Amino acid sequence: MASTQIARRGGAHDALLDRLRVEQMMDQFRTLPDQNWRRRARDVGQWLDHSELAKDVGGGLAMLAGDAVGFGRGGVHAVQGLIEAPKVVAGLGNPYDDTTRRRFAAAGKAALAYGRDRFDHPDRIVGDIGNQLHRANVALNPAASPRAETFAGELARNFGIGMNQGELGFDIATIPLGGAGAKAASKLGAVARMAGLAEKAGPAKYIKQGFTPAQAARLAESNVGMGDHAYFARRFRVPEKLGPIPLPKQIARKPLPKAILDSEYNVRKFDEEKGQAYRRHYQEDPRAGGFRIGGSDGGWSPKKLGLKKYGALRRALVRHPPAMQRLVGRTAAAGAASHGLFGDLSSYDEAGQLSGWNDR
Amino acid sequence: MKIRPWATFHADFPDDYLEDEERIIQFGGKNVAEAIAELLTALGYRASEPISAEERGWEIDLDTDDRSLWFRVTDLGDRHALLAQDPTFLAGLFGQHPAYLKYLRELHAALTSDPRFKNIVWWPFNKFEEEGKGAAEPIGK
Repeated sequence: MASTQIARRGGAHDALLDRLRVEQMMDQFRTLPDQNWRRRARDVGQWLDHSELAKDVGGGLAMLAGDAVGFGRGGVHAVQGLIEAPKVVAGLGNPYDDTTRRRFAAAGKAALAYGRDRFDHPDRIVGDIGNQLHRANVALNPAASPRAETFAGELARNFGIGMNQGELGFDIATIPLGGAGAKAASKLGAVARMAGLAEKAGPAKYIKQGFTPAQAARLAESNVGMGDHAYFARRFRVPEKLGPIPLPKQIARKPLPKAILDSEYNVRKFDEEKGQAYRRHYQEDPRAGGFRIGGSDGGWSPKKLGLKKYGALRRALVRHPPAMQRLVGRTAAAGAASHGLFGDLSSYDEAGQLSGWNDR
Repeated sequence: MKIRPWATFHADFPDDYLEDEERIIQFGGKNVAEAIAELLTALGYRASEPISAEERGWEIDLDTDDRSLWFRVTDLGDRHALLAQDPTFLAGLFGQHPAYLKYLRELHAALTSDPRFKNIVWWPFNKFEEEGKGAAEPIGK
């Protein structure tokens, strides 16, 4: 990142000057007596404030740190929202909680006034969108705001931008978990298949992969099965002990109830061809080795196709049944949304006046 | 200690895969699973009837006084695959149960002493049939 920013800000010449400054600084260090550590520190501070290189490197690191903190902040806000939303709803229903009701009413009034105004002056909506885009640009794009005068200021500016990026990343990451993104992706997939952009269904692609026409015809058949068990496999047995605590004999070493095993939160089912199912099983399930294609047509071998199993991280990301994705996604999205909705109530004081922008 | 719970082998058994014009009636490998279950029963294991796991093969639940155990046989067309595991939830997280290690050793001995099973190779859990990862025994250093 630092090198690209250097190129943007003047290229090799600036870099050379920075190197000379660094060497100059090192010379000064060598010549200064030990007791002059205050002067050294001051010189280092001055150099950092003037060095574009130091600001680039420090700013880049600060942004990375901000990204991580921001991602976590997204999660915290989602959880806060989940905690705060019921409180606000309860507050609205509580005849003695004037504060919440007044804040809520003020927020509603402001929204209504805004709607009326923009209805009368639709031209202002374009300006609003522009303002929002500008705010988003300044919040997320390091090139959209001026570089700070000092090294510390530059660190703070980049850390803030990193946090905003990280939180946006969290919010985006929860979309597919909510099902909306997944549904949109599957629609896109269907459109892509119709347009001939995605992998085509049917035996032809299996012949291309080296299977015989008879094998290809079988691999193109629809796969109807019991589905994949995501979290609890059918063979799982309840342990005899949980740590040092022995479990009752009635459940120890017994399989899990079918209601759990075969529930939609544990089982994924797909509308797919056998060839697609075998590939997916092999890659996602460490307990899948290969399959018989059927009849006397031989086996389906991952080795021949050059397939590799997914690593633990990818497996952990792809194996969730849609029902579980929706449950987790709704919970996270509800948290994020209610933070966005009710969190902004803090912008209104008890008198119902807008007291300033929320920090988010 | 390296555990290799996968085995591949050639089994000298009649093909028991059954299908008609429209559907698969029985996935292959049931007779192989039953034969392995018999070998283990002779060693004192209590074995269930084969349970169909569809294209994944046939599963057998095993019980000993110490532990519940499990294996599955998959018909791969030209050979069979066997996966032998300790099915206890989170088993192996803090080391393998001694009963599971004993089971792997006894299973290997039973397969190698039966002439119907040939070319037995054992594979690590997430490296099934990966080049250079096969071994002659299920437990290694």
